[in-house]
Amino acid sequence: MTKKSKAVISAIVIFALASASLIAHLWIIGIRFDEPVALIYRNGELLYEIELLQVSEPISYNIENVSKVEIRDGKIGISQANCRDQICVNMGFVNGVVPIICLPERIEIRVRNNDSDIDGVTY
Amino acid sequence: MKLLQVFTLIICILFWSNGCGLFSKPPEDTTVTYHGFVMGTHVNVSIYQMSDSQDSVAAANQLIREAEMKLYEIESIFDYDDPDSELSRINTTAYSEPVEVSEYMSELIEEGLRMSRLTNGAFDISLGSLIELWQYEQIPARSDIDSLLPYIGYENITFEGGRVSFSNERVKMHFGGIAKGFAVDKLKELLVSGGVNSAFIDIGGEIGVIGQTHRENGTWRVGIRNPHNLSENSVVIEVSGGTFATSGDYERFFIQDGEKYHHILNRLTGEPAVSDYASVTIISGNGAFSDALSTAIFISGDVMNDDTWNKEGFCVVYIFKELDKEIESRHFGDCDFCVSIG
Ligand SMILES: [Zn+2]
Repeated sequence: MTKKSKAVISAIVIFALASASLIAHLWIIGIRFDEPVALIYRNGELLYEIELLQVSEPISYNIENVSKVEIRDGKIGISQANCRDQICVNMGFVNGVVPIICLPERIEIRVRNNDSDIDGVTY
Repeated sequence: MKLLQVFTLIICILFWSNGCGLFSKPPEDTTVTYHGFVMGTHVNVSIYQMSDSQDSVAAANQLIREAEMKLYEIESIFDYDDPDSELSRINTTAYSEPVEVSEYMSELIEEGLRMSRLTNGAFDISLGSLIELWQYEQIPARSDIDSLLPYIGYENITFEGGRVSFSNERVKMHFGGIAKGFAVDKLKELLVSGGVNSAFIDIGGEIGVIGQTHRENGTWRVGIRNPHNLSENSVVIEVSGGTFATSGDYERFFIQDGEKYHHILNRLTGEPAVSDYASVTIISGNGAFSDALSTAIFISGDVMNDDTWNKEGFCVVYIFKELDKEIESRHFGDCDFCVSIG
Protein backbone atom coordinates (compact mmCIF):
# COMPACT_ATOMS: atom_id res chain seq x y z
CA MET A 1 0.00 0.00 0.00
CA THR A 2 1.35 3.36 -0.88
CA LYS A 3 1.62 6.12 1.65
CA LYS A 4 -1.03 8.03 -0.23
CA SER A 5 -3.62 5.28 -0.26
CA LYS A 6 -3.06 4.64 3.46
CA ALA A 7 -3.77 8.29 4.13
CA VAL A 8 -6.90 8.16 2.01
CA ILE A 9 -8.20 5.06 3.79
CA SER A 10 -7.58 6.49 7.24
CA ALA A 11 -9.22 9.73 6.16
CA ILE A 12 -12.30 7.82 5.03
CA VAL A 13 -12.43 5.88 8.31
CA ILE A 14 -12.15 9.05 10.38
CA PHE A 15 -14.74 10.75 8.19
CA ALA A 16 -17.19 7.89 8.75
CA LEU A 17 -16.60 7.97 12.51
CA ALA A 18 -17.08 11.71 12.64
CA SER A 19 -20.29 11.49 10.62
CA ALA A 20 -21.64 8.73 12.87
CA SER A 21 -20.81 10.80 15.92
CA LEU A 22 -22.58 13.81 14.43
CA ILE A 23 -25.70 11.80 13.71
CA ALA A 24 -25.64 10.31 17.22
CA HIS A 25 -25.18 13.78 18.64
CA LEU A 26 -28.15 15.17 16.72
CA TRP A 27 -30.20 12.18 17.81
CA ILE A 28 -29.37 12.66 21.46
CA ILE A 29 -30.06 16.38 21.52
CA GLY A 30 -33.39 15.77 19.91
CA ILE A 31 -33.17 16.84 16.30
CA ARG A 32 -34.61 13.60 15.07
CA PHE A 33 -35.15 13.12 11.42
CA ASP A 34 -38.70 12.39 12.23
CA GLU A 35 -41.87 12.67 10.32
CA PRO A 36 -44.93 14.80 10.68
CA VAL A 37 -47.33 13.37 13.25
CA ALA A 38 -51.05 14.12 13.08
CA LEU A 39 -52.88 14.49 16.36
CA ILE A 40 -56.67 14.22 16.41
CA TYR A 41 -58.43 15.71 19.43
CA ARG A 42 -62.05 15.73 20.45
CA ASN A 43 -63.09 17.89 23.40
CA GLY A 44 -59.40 18.53 24.04
CA GLU A 45 -58.70 14.81 24.42
CA LEU A 46 -56.22 13.08 22.17
CA LEU A 47 -57.94 10.31 20.19
CA TYR A 48 -55.34 9.40 17.56
CA GLU A 49 -51.67 10.01 16.92
CA ILE A 50 -50.61 9.04 13.40
CA GLU A 51 -47.31 9.30 11.55
CA LEU A 52 -48.55 10.73 8.30
CA LEU A 53 -45.85 9.40 6.01
CA GLN A 54 -46.30 5.85 7.31
CA VAL A 55 -49.75 5.81 5.76
CA SER A 56 -49.25 4.47 2.26
CA GLU A 57 -52.85 3.78 1.26
CA PRO A 58 -55.63 6.29 1.92
CA ILE A 59 -57.20 5.53 5.27
CA SER A 60 -60.11 6.99 7.18
CA TYR A 61 -61.03 7.27 10.83
CA ASN A 62 -64.55 7.53 12.06
CA ILE A 63 -64.55 10.09 14.87
CA GLU A 64 -67.31 9.10 17.27
CA ASN A 65 -69.85 8.98 14.45
CA VAL A 66 -69.73 12.73 13.90
CA SER A 67 -67.07 13.03 11.26
CA LYS A 68 -64.73 11.14 9.02
CA VAL A 69 -61.04 12.02 9.04
CA GLU A 70 -59.04 10.90 6.05
CA ILE A 71 -55.32 10.61 5.37
CA ARG A 72 -54.04 10.52 1.83
CA ASP A 73 -50.86 11.56 0.06
CA GLY A 74 -49.25 12.45 3.37
CA LYS A 75 -52.00 14.91 4.26
CA ILE A 76 -54.88 14.82 6.71
CA GLY A 77 -58.31 16.41 6.61
CA ILE A 78 -61.98 15.98 7.45
CA SER A 79 -63.78 14.47 4.48
CA GLN A 80 -67.25 14.22 5.98
CA ALA A 81 -68.85 15.94 8.96
CA ASN A 82 -72.19 16.15 10.70
CA CYS A 83 -71.74 19.82 11.52
CA ARG A 84 -74.00 22.29 9.81
CA ASP A 85 -71.40 24.80 8.72
CA GLN A 86 -68.98 22.30 7.06
CA ILE A 87 -66.13 24.75 7.68
CA CYS A 88 -63.91 21.86 8.77
CA VAL A 89 -64.47 20.02 5.48
CA ASN A 90 -63.75 23.21 3.55
CA MET A 91 -60.44 23.57 5.35
CA GLY A 92 -59.14 20.86 3.05
CA PHE A 93 -56.09 18.69 3.73
CA VAL A 94 -52.93 19.71 5.55
CA ASN A 95 -49.51 18.35 6.37
CA GLY A 96 -48.23 21.37 8.22
CA VAL A 97 -48.89 23.59 11.15
CA VAL A 98 -52.27 25.06 10.09
CA PRO A 99 -54.87 23.28 12.23
CA ILE A 100 -58.12 21.75 11.01
CA ILE A 101 -60.87 22.85 13.35
CA CYS A 102 -64.50 21.87 13.77
CA LEU A 103 -65.99 24.05 16.48
CA PRO A 104 -69.50 22.55 16.49
CA GLU A 105 -68.18 19.00 16.91
CA ARG A 106 -65.20 20.10 19.02
CA ILE A 107 -62.68 18.37 16.79
CA GLU A 108 -59.16 19.64 16.31
CA ILE A 109 -56.48 18.16 14.08
CA ARG A 110 -52.91 19.37 14.44
CA VAL A 111 -49.81 18.21 12.65
CA ARG A 112 -46.70 18.23 14.76
CA ASN A 113 -43.70 18.67 12.53
CA ASN A 114 -40.29 19.27 14.03
CA ASP A 115 -39.07 20.65 10.73
CA SER A 116 -41.69 23.39 10.79
CA ASP A 117 -40.36 26.89 11.08
CA ILE A 118 -43.68 28.20 12.36
CA ASP A 119 -44.74 28.12 16.00
CA GLY A 120 -48.47 28.56 15.53
CA VAL A 121 -51.31 30.06 13.55
CA THR A 122 -53.71 32.90 14.32
CA TYR A 123 -57.23 32.77 12.87
CA MET B 1 -2.05 15.42 -0.65
CA LYS B 2 -4.75 17.81 -1.65
CA LEU B 3 -7.44 15.17 -1.10
CA LEU B 4 -6.15 14.53 2.40
CA GLN B 5 -6.30 18.20 3.25
CA VAL B 6 -9.91 18.40 2.15
CA PHE B 7 -10.83 15.37 4.26
CA THR B 8 -9.05 16.77 7.26
CA LEU B 9 -10.97 19.99 6.90
CA ILE B 10 -14.32 18.21 6.67
CA ILE B 11 -13.47 16.09 9.69
CA CYS B 12 -12.49 19.14 11.68
CA ILE B 13 -15.77 20.84 10.81
CA LEU B 14 -17.78 17.77 11.77
CA PHE B 15 -16.05 17.34 15.14
CA TRP B 16 -16.18 21.03 15.82
CA SER B 17 -19.86 21.26 15.06
CA ASN B 18 -20.45 18.31 17.36
CA GLY B 19 -18.38 19.66 20.13
CA CYS B 20 -19.45 23.26 20.22
CA GLY B 21 -23.07 22.51 19.54
CA LEU B 22 -23.48 24.11 16.14
CA PHE B 23 -26.69 22.17 15.80
CA SER B 24 -27.63 22.28 19.41
CA LYS B 25 -31.24 22.46 20.21
CA PRO B 26 -32.84 25.03 22.30
CA PRO B 27 -33.09 24.53 25.98
CA GLU B 28 -36.52 23.05 25.38
CA ASP B 29 -35.93 20.58 28.12
CA THR B 30 -39.23 21.23 29.81
CA THR B 31 -41.78 20.95 27.03
CA VAL B 32 -45.12 20.39 28.72
CA THR B 33 -48.28 20.80 26.69
CA TYR B 34 -51.95 21.22 27.48
CA HIS B 35 -54.83 20.66 25.08
CA GLY B 36 -58.39 21.38 26.04
CA PHE B 37 -61.76 22.62 24.90
CA VAL B 38 -62.72 25.59 27.08
CA MET B 39 -64.64 28.85 26.49
CA GLY B 40 -66.22 27.27 23.40
CA THR B 41 -62.91 26.75 21.65
CA HIS B 42 -59.73 24.72 21.38
CA VAL B 43 -56.91 25.64 23.73
CA ASN B 44 -53.23 24.73 23.41
CA VAL B 45 -50.61 25.81 25.89
CA SER B 46 -46.96 24.75 25.61
CA ILE B 47 -44.35 25.57 28.23
CA TYR B 48 -40.89 25.24 26.70
CA GLN B 49 -38.60 26.46 29.42
CA MET B 50 -38.68 27.34 33.10
CA SER B 51 -36.33 29.86 34.67
CA ASP B 52 -35.36 27.39 37.37
CA SER B 53 -34.16 24.14 35.85
CA GLN B 54 -34.57 22.19 39.07
CA ASP B 55 -37.76 20.12 39.02
CA SER B 56 -38.77 22.13 36.01
CA VAL B 57 -41.04 19.46 34.54
CA ALA B 58 -42.97 19.11 37.79
CA ALA B 59 -43.23 22.89 38.10
CA ALA B 60 -44.41 23.23 34.49
CA ASN B 61 -47.00 20.50 34.99
CA GLN B 62 -48.28 22.25 38.08
CA LEU B 63 -48.58 25.52 36.14
CA ILE B 64 -50.43 23.78 33.32
CA ARG B 65 -52.98 22.52 35.86
CA GLU B 66 -53.34 26.03 37.27
CA ALA B 67 -53.74 27.40 33.75
CA GLU B 68 -56.55 24.95 33.06
CA MET B 69 -58.29 25.94 36.29
CA LYS B 70 -57.88 29.60 35.39
CA LEU B 71 -59.56 28.97 32.02
CA TYR B 72 -62.49 27.23 33.67
CA GLU B 73 -62.76 30.10 36.13
CA ILE B 74 -62.86 32.66 33.31
CA GLU B 75 -65.42 30.55 31.46
CA SER B 76 -67.62 30.34 34.56
CA ILE B 77 -67.63 34.13 34.82
CA PHE B 78 -68.15 35.16 31.18
CA ASP B 79 -70.17 32.32 29.61
CA TYR B 80 -73.20 34.04 28.10
CA ASP B 81 -75.13 30.79 27.63
CA ASP B 82 -74.57 29.41 31.11
CA PRO B 83 -77.44 30.58 33.33
CA ASP B 84 -75.18 30.16 36.37
CA SER B 85 -72.36 32.38 35.12
CA GLU B 86 -71.72 35.73 36.73
CA LEU B 87 -72.47 37.37 33.39
CA SER B 88 -75.92 35.76 33.22
CA ARG B 89 -76.66 36.91 36.76
CA ILE B 90 -75.69 40.47 35.82
CA ASN B 91 -77.61 40.37 32.55
CA THR B 92 -80.82 39.36 34.30
CA THR B 93 -80.59 41.80 37.22
CA ALA B 94 -78.49 44.87 36.32
CA TYR B 95 -81.50 46.68 34.94
CA SER B 96 -83.47 46.66 38.16
CA GLU B 97 -80.52 47.43 40.45
CA PRO B 98 -76.74 47.98 40.24
CA VAL B 99 -74.84 44.71 40.62
CA GLU B 100 -71.54 44.31 42.40
CA VAL B 101 -69.06 42.41 40.23
CA SER B 102 -65.99 40.18 40.68
CA GLU B 103 -62.45 41.34 40.00
CA TYR B 104 -62.19 39.75 36.54
CA MET B 105 -65.63 41.01 35.58
CA SER B 106 -64.67 44.48 36.72
CA GLU B 107 -61.45 44.38 34.68
CA LEU B 108 -63.18 43.21 31.54
CA ILE B 109 -66.11 45.64 31.82
CA GLU B 110 -63.61 48.46 32.16
CA GLU B 111 -61.48 47.33 29.24
CA GLY B 112 -64.61 46.52 27.21
CA LEU B 113 -66.09 49.98 27.78
CA ARG B 114 -62.75 51.61 27.02
CA MET B 115 -62.52 49.74 23.71
CA SER B 116 -66.17 50.47 22.91
CA ARG B 117 -65.48 54.20 23.35
CA LEU B 118 -62.15 54.13 21.49
CA THR B 119 -63.76 52.45 18.49
CA ASN B 120 -66.98 54.52 18.63
CA GLY B 121 -68.98 51.36 19.18
CA ALA B 122 -67.53 49.38 16.27
CA PHE B 123 -66.54 46.99 19.02
CA ASP B 124 -69.30 47.00 21.64
CA ILE B 125 -69.88 44.91 24.77
CA SER B 126 -73.65 45.50 24.75
CA LEU B 127 -74.63 43.24 21.83
CA GLY B 128 -76.00 40.32 23.89
CA SER B 129 -79.65 40.56 22.79
CA LEU B 130 -78.64 41.04 19.16
CA ILE B 131 -76.32 38.03 19.20
CA GLU B 132 -79.14 35.99 20.74
CA LEU B 133 -81.41 37.01 17.89
CA TRP B 134 -78.92 35.63 15.35
CA GLN B 135 -77.97 32.48 17.23
CA TYR B 136 -80.52 30.22 15.57
CA GLU B 137 -78.58 30.30 12.32
CA GLN B 138 -81.33 31.91 10.32
CA ILE B 139 -82.00 35.51 9.39
CA PRO B 140 -84.16 37.16 12.06
CA ALA B 141 -87.18 39.27 11.07
CA ARG B 142 -86.17 42.84 10.25
CA SER B 143 -88.84 44.12 12.65
CA ASP B 144 -87.26 42.14 15.50
CA ILE B 145 -83.87 43.70 14.75
CA ASP B 146 -85.33 47.21 14.49
CA SER B 147 -87.17 46.95 17.77
CA LEU B 148 -83.93 45.93 19.47
CA LEU B 149 -81.52 48.51 18.03
CA PRO B 150 -82.48 51.39 20.34
CA TYR B 151 -81.29 49.29 23.27
CA ILE B 152 -77.99 48.33 21.73
CA GLY B 153 -74.94 50.40 22.62
CA TYR B 154 -72.37 50.58 25.40
CA GLU B 155 -73.84 53.98 26.37
CA ASN B 156 -76.60 51.98 28.06
CA ILE B 157 -74.11 50.49 30.52
CA THR B 158 -72.95 52.33 33.64
CA PHE B 159 -70.04 51.05 35.69
CA GLU B 160 -69.21 52.91 38.88
CA GLY B 161 -67.61 51.91 42.15
CA GLY B 162 -67.45 48.26 41.17
CA ARG B 163 -71.18 48.13 40.33
CA VAL B 164 -72.73 47.76 36.93
CA SER B 165 -76.19 48.84 35.84
CA PHE B 166 -78.17 48.93 32.59
CA SER B 167 -80.55 51.60 31.34
CA ASN B 168 -83.02 49.10 29.95
CA GLU B 169 -83.99 45.49 30.54
CA ARG B 170 -83.15 44.51 26.98
CA VAL B 171 -79.51 45.57 27.40
CA LYS B 172 -77.26 42.55 27.78
CA MET B 173 -73.48 42.42 27.89
CA HIS B 174 -71.61 39.91 25.73
CA PHE B 175 -67.83 39.46 25.83
CA GLY B 176 -67.46 37.20 22.78
CA GLY B 177 -65.14 39.64 21.00
CA ILE B 178 -62.76 40.21 23.90
CA ALA B 179 -62.84 37.35 26.46
CA LYS B 180 -60.44 35.04 24.61
CA GLY B 181 -57.83 37.79 24.38
CA PHE B 182 -58.39 38.55 28.06
CA ALA B 183 -57.86 34.86 28.86
CA VAL B 184 -54.56 34.90 26.94
CA ASP B 185 -53.47 37.87 29.11
CA LYS B 186 -54.42 36.06 32.30
CA LEU B 187 -52.57 32.88 31.32
CA LYS B 188 -49.51 34.92 30.41
CA GLU B 189 -49.56 36.59 33.84
CA LEU B 190 -49.95 33.23 35.56
CA LEU B 191 -47.11 31.56 33.64
CA VAL B 192 -44.67 34.45 33.93
CA SER B 193 -45.25 34.80 37.67
CA GLY B 194 -44.80 31.02 37.97
CA GLY B 195 -41.29 31.25 36.54
CA VAL B 196 -41.88 30.38 32.88
CA ASN B 197 -39.12 31.56 30.55
CA SER B 198 -40.57 30.46 27.25
CA ALA B 199 -44.14 29.49 26.34
CA PHE B 200 -46.76 29.58 23.60
CA ILE B 201 -50.48 30.06 24.28
CA ASP B 202 -53.23 29.48 21.71
CA ILE B 203 -56.87 30.04 22.69
CA GLY B 204 -58.95 29.46 19.57
CA GLY B 205 -56.40 31.19 17.34
CA GLU B 206 -55.68 34.07 19.74
CA ILE B 207 -51.98 33.68 20.36
CA GLY B 208 -49.75 34.82 23.20
CA VAL B 209 -46.00 34.29 23.42
CA ILE B 210 -43.69 34.43 26.43
CA GLY B 211 -39.92 34.83 26.24
CA GLN B 212 -37.85 33.55 23.37
CA THR B 213 -37.54 30.60 21.04
CA HIS B 214 -34.41 28.67 20.11
CA ARG B 215 -34.02 30.63 16.87
CA GLU B 216 -30.90 32.67 16.49
CA ASN B 217 -32.68 35.93 17.26
CA GLY B 218 -35.12 34.29 19.68
CA THR B 219 -38.22 35.37 17.76
CA TRP B 220 -41.53 33.55 17.34
CA ARG B 221 -43.02 32.89 13.92
CA VAL B 222 -46.81 32.95 13.72
CA GLY B 223 -48.81 32.39 10.54
CA ILE B 224 -52.09 34.09 9.69
CA ARG B 225 -54.56 31.57 8.31
CA ASN B 226 -55.35 32.34 4.70
CA PRO B 227 -59.06 33.28 4.62
CA HIS B 228 -59.17 32.32 0.93
CA ASN B 229 -57.56 28.91 1.44
CA LEU B 230 -58.03 27.71 5.00
CA SER B 231 -55.39 24.97 4.85
CA GLU B 232 -52.61 27.52 4.30
CA ASN B 233 -51.08 30.58 5.88
CA SER B 234 -51.28 33.90 4.07
CA VAL B 235 -48.31 35.45 5.73
CA VAL B 236 -45.91 34.78 8.61
CA ILE B 237 -45.27 37.36 11.33
CA GLU B 238 -42.08 37.30 13.31
CA VAL B 239 -42.37 38.74 16.81
CA SER B 240 -40.35 38.98 19.98
CA GLY B 241 -43.46 39.22 22.16
CA GLY B 242 -47.09 40.32 22.18
CA THR B 243 -50.52 38.85 21.60
CA PHE B 244 -52.23 38.11 18.29
CA ALA B 245 -55.94 38.25 17.56
CA THR B 246 -57.67 37.76 14.21
CA SER B 247 -61.24 38.50 13.16
CA GLY B 248 -62.54 37.02 9.94
CA ASP B 249 -65.77 36.02 8.28
CA TYR B 250 -64.78 32.39 7.78
CA GLU B 251 -64.71 31.00 11.30
CA ARG B 252 -68.39 31.02 12.24
CA PHE B 253 -71.20 31.54 9.76
CA PHE B 254 -74.34 30.05 8.25
CA ILE B 255 -75.64 30.07 4.70
CA GLN B 256 -79.20 30.97 3.82
CA ASP B 257 -80.54 31.32 0.26
CA GLY B 258 -77.00 31.11 -1.04
CA GLU B 259 -75.83 34.07 1.09
CA LYS B 260 -73.21 33.75 3.80
CA TYR B 261 -74.01 35.25 7.21
CA HIS B 262 -71.01 35.41 9.55
CA HIS B 263 -71.08 36.05 13.29
CA ILE B 264 -69.50 39.52 13.54
CA LEU B 265 -72.42 41.90 13.95
CA ASN B 266 -72.52 45.61 13.23
CA ARG B 267 -74.47 47.41 15.94
CA LEU B 268 -75.62 50.14 13.54
CA THR B 269 -77.40 47.78 11.14
CA GLY B 270 -78.01 44.88 13.50
CA GLU B 271 -76.67 42.58 10.80
CA PRO B 272 -73.39 40.83 10.01
CA ALA B 273 -70.82 43.48 9.16
CA VAL B 274 -70.16 44.16 5.50
CA SER B 275 -66.39 44.35 5.43
CA ASP B 276 -63.69 45.04 2.86
CA TYR B 277 -61.57 42.54 4.72
CA ALA B 278 -61.53 38.77 4.78
CA SER B 279 -59.59 39.05 8.01
CA VAL B 280 -57.91 41.58 10.28
CA THR B 281 -55.08 40.65 12.64
CA ILE B 282 -53.82 42.80 15.51
CA ILE B 283 -50.57 42.27 17.39
CA SER B 284 -50.21 44.25 20.60
CA GLY B 285 -48.99 43.92 24.16
CA ASN B 286 -52.56 43.46 25.45
CA GLY B 287 -54.66 40.46 24.40
CA ALA B 288 -58.05 41.99 25.24
CA PHE B 289 -57.08 45.06 23.21
CA SER B 290 -55.94 42.95 20.22
CA ASP B 291 -59.12 40.90 20.34
CA ALA B 292 -61.52 43.87 20.55
CA LEU B 293 -59.67 45.98 18.00
CA SER B 294 -59.48 43.23 15.37
CA THR B 295 -63.29 42.98 15.61
CA ALA B 296 -63.71 46.76 15.41
CA ILE B 297 -61.50 47.19 12.36
CA PHE B 298 -63.10 44.22 10.63
CA ILE B 299 -66.49 45.92 11.10
CA SER B 300 -65.70 49.55 10.42
CA GLY B 301 -62.31 49.77 8.77
CA ASP B 302 -59.85 52.20 10.23
CA VAL B 303 -62.23 53.80 12.68
CA MET B 304 -59.31 55.44 14.23
CA ASN B 305 -57.72 58.65 14.97
CA ASP B 306 -53.99 58.05 14.51
CA ASP B 307 -53.06 60.08 17.61
CA THR B 308 -55.19 57.88 19.83
CA TRP B 309 -53.82 54.70 18.32
CA ASN B 310 -50.20 55.78 18.45
CA LYS B 311 -50.54 55.90 22.23
CA GLU B 312 -51.49 52.21 22.27
CA GLY B 313 -48.74 50.68 20.14
CA PHE B 314 -49.72 47.80 17.85
CA CYS B 315 -49.46 46.38 14.32
CA VAL B 316 -52.38 45.49 12.11
CA VAL B 317 -52.44 43.15 9.12
CA TYR B 318 -55.30 43.45 6.64
CA ILE B 319 -56.22 40.63 4.28
CA PHE B 320 -58.72 41.84 1.73
CA LYS B 321 -61.79 40.11 0.42
CA GLU B 322 -60.75 40.89 -3.12
CA LEU B 323 -58.35 38.15 -4.10
CA ASP B 324 -56.06 40.30 -6.20
CA LYS B 325 -55.57 42.91 -3.49
CA GLU B 326 -52.24 42.67 -1.71
CA ILE B 327 -52.02 42.13 2.03
CA GLU B 328 -51.36 45.40 3.88
CA SER B 329 -49.93 46.16 7.27
CA ARG B 330 -49.63 49.25 9.45
CA HIS B 331 -47.78 50.09 12.64
CA PHE B 332 -49.02 52.44 15.34
CA GLY B 333 -46.88 53.84 18.11
CA ASP B 334 -44.41 51.63 19.87
CA CYS B 335 -44.68 48.09 18.52
CA ASP B 336 -41.07 46.98 18.60
CA PHE B 337 -42.15 43.40 19.24
CA CYS B 338 -43.26 43.11 15.59
CA VAL B 339 -39.96 42.13 14.02
CA SER B 340 -41.16 41.43 10.50
CA ILE B 341 -44.31 40.81 8.48
CA GLY B 342 -44.16 38.78 5.31
ZN1 LIG C 1 -67.24 20.85 11.17
